[in-house]
Amino acid sequence: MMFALVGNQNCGKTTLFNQLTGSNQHVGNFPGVTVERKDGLIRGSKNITVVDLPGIYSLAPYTNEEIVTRDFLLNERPDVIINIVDATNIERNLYLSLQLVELNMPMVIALNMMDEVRANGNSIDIAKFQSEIGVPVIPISASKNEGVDELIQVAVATAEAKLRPKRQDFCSGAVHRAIHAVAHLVEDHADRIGVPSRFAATKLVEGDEPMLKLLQLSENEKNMIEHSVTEMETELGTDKEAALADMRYAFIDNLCSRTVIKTGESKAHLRSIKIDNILTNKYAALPIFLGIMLLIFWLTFGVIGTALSDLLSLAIDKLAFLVDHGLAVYGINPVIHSLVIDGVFVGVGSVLSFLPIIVVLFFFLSFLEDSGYMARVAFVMDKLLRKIGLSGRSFVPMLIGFGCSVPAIMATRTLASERDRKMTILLTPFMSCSAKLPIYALFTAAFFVEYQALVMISLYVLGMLIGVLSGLVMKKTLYHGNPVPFVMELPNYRLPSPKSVGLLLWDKARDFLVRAFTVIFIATLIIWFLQTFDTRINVVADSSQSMLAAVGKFIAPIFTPLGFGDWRAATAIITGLSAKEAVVSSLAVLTGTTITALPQALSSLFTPLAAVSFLVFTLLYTPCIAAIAVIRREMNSGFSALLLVFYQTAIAWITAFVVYRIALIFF
Amino acid sequence: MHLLDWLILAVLAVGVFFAVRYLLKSKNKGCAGCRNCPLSKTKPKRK
Repeated sequence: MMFALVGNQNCGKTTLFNQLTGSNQHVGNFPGVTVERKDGLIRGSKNITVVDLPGIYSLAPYTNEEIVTRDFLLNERPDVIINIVDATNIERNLYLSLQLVELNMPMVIALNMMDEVRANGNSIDIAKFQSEIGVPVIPISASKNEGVDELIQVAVATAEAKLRPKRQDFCSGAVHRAIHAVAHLVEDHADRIGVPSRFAATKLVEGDEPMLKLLQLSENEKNMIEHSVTEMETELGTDKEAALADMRYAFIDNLCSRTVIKTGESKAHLRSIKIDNILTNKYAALPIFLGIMLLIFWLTFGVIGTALSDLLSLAIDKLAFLVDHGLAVYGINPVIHSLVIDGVFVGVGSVLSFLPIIVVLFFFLSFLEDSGYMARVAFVMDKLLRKIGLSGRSFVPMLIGFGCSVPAIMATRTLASERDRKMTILLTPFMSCSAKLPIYALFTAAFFVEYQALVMISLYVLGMLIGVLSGLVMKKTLYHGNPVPFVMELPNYRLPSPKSVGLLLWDKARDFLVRAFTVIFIATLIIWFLQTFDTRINVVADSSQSMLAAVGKFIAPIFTPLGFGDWRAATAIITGLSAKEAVVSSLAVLTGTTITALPQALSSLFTPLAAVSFLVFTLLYTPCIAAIAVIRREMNSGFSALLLVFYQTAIAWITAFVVYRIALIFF
Repeated sequence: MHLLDWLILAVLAVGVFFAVRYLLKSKNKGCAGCRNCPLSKTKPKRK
């Protein structure tokens, strides 16, 4: 048995999915968190699958989310549709419900967020509502797990009895006549492709091109449909899309006026309006955003994260010392001794020590996201992004890009326009991903202790600035035209749920640890091997005689104009291709020092200005291999991915060169 | 090389084996904290 969760964006589908399945999918107070279907088994059941579908506002095939959901419903025919309706915003949510009813499939409406409805002093006459709309209606609160068990029971009963909606016709007059006429006309074609004739007729009256193609109508039939639609438009004095929207909203208004009792406006909504007057103010919005980010960076790098990171470094060094001592006592072979201490402990340990910084930073960022503030930032950014030919919608993938470029590039699939999508893919890698944080943290601790937060935010802003400039160039050259209009629902502000923030932090920490013990571990061993042996596999007395030095010295001249022509710096840059954290582990292994002494050791490789140049280069140069692979897949072109790698590396080199040379003039 | 040397090498070899296996298994997933992201477990299907 298969349940399909369908509803508007941010109505609580993923929260309900997690309650139903006991899973921990990421839930965001942010529209568009789900962009592809997710499957899971209902808790305690082995044969009921539940599918979480992307949030949509209609079954029109305009956006990728709508296409995914519509194709799923029509082709895979779930046993029951669970339509989640945000009861605090019932009128707008029911617009989709009426279209789902037209599919004539077993369906249950889950009226979610009923706890908020009650808290606002409002109520809904469920029995009357259910009888009017013709499908079972269950009041629930997914976040509090209220009514979920009853929902499962009713959904199972509806699916087993194959209970279809009791009514599908919500219209009268001209719209009714047009749909009725078209439904009879296309009935045979609709039956042939397994689509309900009522649904097919409504879509044809709306002018749905994919449905027209799917039904393979004759020219005569098309003309007859056109005639019915024109007649309807003439009689109503409006176009077909407006006519159908008016018809649905007229029914919804009527239904709500008889079943929903509203004594007042939602408190959360009123509070959100007040907060938005400040946070999205025309002049104050951007400075406030920058101020909040500066505060977060200051707390992370200046107050909490760095102190915890230093403690962890000390602990790892202590452990390394004990192991070092133990290996010496047992007379372990010097090469193996070096492999364990100078390779594994220093390499993996140097990256591990930044775990607290990652966790603290993402604690604040997840707090902002869960509170609903990040959705406002997308709205604020719309004006700015329009100047480079994108809309605020592109900010969502870019925001994800601050965590990791891989899901960020995949998230561009939510963008309706191919032009916007490709531009966003090419610009997202300029947003500094979290894997680069250990590099920034290491260098700021070594060279700019007093100004850690400022250097951090400058790097992030520089990345965005270069992205903006690249966007302007693309707008003038590769991608002419205008972005699609940006419409996004702003969720109410809310206090972040400790569970949601906790889960996100746990995931971040776990992923960081997994990466440290997989990709960084392997990269460290390779670096240690290459810097310990020469080309004849003899142990070298000095790492400058190693095979790694030979390769590094070959590449190093490229970076000499940028101020860091040392072969070890060049080698670290190259290892960053596997994963950006590998830059830190490579530097740790190559300087042959302890983790706590690593910042000091860097001063023998870099001057403070060269460190700035190195940071700028690592901020902007080519993304890691995983991201390049995803870019190739999403752009459907290996050439585009290769071009982006060269483009970003060239931009990184030029920017680092300019920054370094200008800095040399002043300092 | 003593027995303990070989033992340490064997432990590291096992570590490398599991690390490589994990990386191969998760090569289509994201990185740096996106394991639980709704997008990271899906292979894109181009239309």
